[in-house]
Amino acid sequence: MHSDLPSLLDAASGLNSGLFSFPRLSILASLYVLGPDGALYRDLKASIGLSDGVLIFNLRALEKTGYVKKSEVALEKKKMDLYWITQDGRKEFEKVREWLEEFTKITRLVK
Amino acid sequence: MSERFEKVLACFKEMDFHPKLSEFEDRLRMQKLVFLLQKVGVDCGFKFALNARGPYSIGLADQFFTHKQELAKLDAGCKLSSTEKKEVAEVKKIFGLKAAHLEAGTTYLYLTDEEKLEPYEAFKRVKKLKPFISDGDLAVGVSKAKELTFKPTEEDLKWLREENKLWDRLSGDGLKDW
Repeated sequence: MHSDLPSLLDAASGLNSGLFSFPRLSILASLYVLGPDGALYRDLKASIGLSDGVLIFNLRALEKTGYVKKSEVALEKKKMDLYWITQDGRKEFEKVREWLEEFTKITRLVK
Repeated sequence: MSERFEKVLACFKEMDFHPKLSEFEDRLRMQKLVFLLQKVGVDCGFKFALNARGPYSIGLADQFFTHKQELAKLDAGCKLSSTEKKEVAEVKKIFGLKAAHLEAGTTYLYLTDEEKLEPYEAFKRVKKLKPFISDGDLAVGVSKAKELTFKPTEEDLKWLREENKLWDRLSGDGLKDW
């Protein structure tokens, strides 16, 4: 727990800055609650509301970091892409979430 | 294994639904069926929230993955009451297992019951959240949801009796000639 803004900002160096974007945080947050069950590409697209290009680009980036994995599943006889969060992804998302919570608290105090 | 999960297994057994945890489609069906069962009154006690996959219970998913063996055998230690058996039969009869209908119907019910949206607003929101479901499947799913949860009021019953009176009389009159 950090008590001042400079030390909290300093602690941010331990976070993966690649996660600090709306698409990536939205993807990880959506997959985090679903755990090993995962979500279909079409569900992510509809619930987050990103274009195909942006969603695919960010999913690939998250796959590369090892935070997200993909497999093929069948639904009503159609093949679809299923994404789920890995253990590393969960840990990193929790770190970012905690940091953001502290950031919100501290910046409220400053105000 | 928790009592509430035992009840879920007993319901699946009663429905003659034997899900495979490795199949995504079955995992989807399990979530949606338990949501519907709770809606009609089978008290399984799982909390559902709306997320990327529609109404979803993290606690329920956790039980599926923790108790794989029991799920595979539908090894339930509890028995359903006769009322619960009727409710299970109702869900099975009205919905069946088609994923698109289950997805559309449960999302619609969540929006009308939990978020208190008006039927038309809820329908529009389901269409936005599930754009990949065809208009036909969406209409059927929502209609099934309405059928499952429809409870006629005294006023509805009175109206139905009035509406049928004429037909009853006509059919009665027609039979007199025989």
